[in-house]
Amino acid sequence: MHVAVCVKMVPAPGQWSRIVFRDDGSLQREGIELIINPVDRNALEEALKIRQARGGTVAVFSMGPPSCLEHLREALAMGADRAFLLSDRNFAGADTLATSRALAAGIKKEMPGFDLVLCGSASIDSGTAQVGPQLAAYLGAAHLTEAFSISVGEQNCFQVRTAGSHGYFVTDLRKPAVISVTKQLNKPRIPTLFDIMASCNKEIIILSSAELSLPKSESGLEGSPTKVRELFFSPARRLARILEGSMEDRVEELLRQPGVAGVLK
Amino acid sequence: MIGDIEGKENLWVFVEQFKGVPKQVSLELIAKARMLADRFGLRVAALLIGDNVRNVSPVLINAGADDVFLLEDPLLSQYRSDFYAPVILDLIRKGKPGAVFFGATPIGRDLAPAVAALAETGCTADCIDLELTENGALLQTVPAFGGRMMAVIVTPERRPQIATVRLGVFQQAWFPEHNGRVVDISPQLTQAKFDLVEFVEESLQPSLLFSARVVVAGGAGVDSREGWELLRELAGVLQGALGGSRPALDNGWIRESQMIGHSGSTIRPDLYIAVGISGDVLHMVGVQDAKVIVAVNSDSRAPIFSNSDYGIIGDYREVIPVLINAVKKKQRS
Repeated sequence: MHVAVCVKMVPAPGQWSRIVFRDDGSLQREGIELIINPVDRNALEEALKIRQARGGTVAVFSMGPPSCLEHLREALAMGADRAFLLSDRNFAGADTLATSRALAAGIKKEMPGFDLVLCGSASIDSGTAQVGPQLAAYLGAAHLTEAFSISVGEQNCFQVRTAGSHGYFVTDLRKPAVISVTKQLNKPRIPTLFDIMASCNKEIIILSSAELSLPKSESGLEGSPTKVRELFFSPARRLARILEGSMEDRVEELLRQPGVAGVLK
Repeated sequence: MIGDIEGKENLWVFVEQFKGVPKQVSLELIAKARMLADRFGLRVAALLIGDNVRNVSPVLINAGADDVFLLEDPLLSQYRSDFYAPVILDLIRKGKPGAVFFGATPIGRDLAPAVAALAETGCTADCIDLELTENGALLQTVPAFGGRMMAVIVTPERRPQIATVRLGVFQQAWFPEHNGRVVDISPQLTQAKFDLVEFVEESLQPSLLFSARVVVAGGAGVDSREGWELLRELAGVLQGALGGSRPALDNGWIRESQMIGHSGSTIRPDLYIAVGISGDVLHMVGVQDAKVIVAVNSDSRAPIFSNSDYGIIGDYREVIPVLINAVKKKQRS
């Protein structure tokens, strides 16, 4: 079983206030501490469990600046066999479609016989949850999202449970397939010192847009159908009135306000 | 039949229904599409896909749809991306809509990006506003990551413009006199990519958050069982619902269905009381349509105070019991 895992490096939540936008609407991320998007670790953990049960290989794919390399090292320490970083100026400013197109090209080139692609259901920074389904479209594979249980059956068939609005779906999925997973799926392992040392021998390969035969017009900002047209500060439209006095006075005054008193009736 | 209005970039809404009842978010999206379409003389179409779902059509027309594109097949009775996405792609190629809206439900979030990728067009997730310009550009407003900003996203060169929107962002409308037509379309099913073994229905508690007039919510600042009991009691005396922010979910005090904010629920109560919530934009977009917002927080610099109508700076363990007693007293008088 050959499993590709897609991971995204996201700014650590405590660093969000330091992020600024460039004039073209893209994000200025330099100098901001990155982490592996938390639920992407669950995707990697599941891939490692599948390899443990069925053999095969696990390769991690990510797209981002060279500063992502050290985090791919962490994925290797967790147990991935290989890691690929799609890194190129041409990839900058990609929306979900351009990201999916590039990741799919990377997987096709480096793991052409893949059985399964796993990714986290959504990233904590943008949270669109779109890359899984869009990757599947580019790979011509089936996709499922919000998976909270995956079992590998006979003949490389997967039985997957996915959350819906009124219950859950049980699906028998044939390979190749793309599955977006949730945190309920498993508990990601923490690499030991030995794992970290052992991972030093593993290689991280950087892939450029040229190596993936992706022209500039299909990569990054240029290859993205969506564009940021405008950015603005959310306008304040609340009274923003701080109540003063003793606690009893403040509460009394609050309950006298028309919008509040009306609700109590 | 579906492409018979040449040159017009009409607005389509994917309708999600469960057991013949359309989802609220689908009706809200039809109402929004109606409003945008009327400004430019466009038509609104509802995509109704399933098995034996014809009887849903009148509701969709009364909600504002001009056309109901009805695609029925026993194989379409349950949602599945491998059938639904190609069927919608096929429709899009024939009807050439200007935009297609999906509810940001588990199904909509699974389907919309897949359709967008097949059509090689843009998909914008979790829009909190949609506007249409004269030249047909859809202005899709989303909270921009990290802070106090909003971004307007456009898809300048590709059609359709695909957007997902959460429940409660727009308001449903009702047009009892509105005339619409049902257009039967026989779906061209592609090869199955998986076998749907079963759908296990779970009687999930219908979230009271959406219908409650009053919502009391806690955040990172409420960090004890006793604290949450206080909030529960306050919600109780106000006959309201209890919710929370992302940290409250991460800390295990609330369930996923109770989370309010960008990655959770969007609500529009008459009164929203935020306790121990700092009030970053990702939370506030979920309550921006609340009529009145009251903030209780011990940190006077918390951004919630500038995003609220009334603020009480103080320890919630001191504030909430006084508030509970005062409300009870008012109710008795």
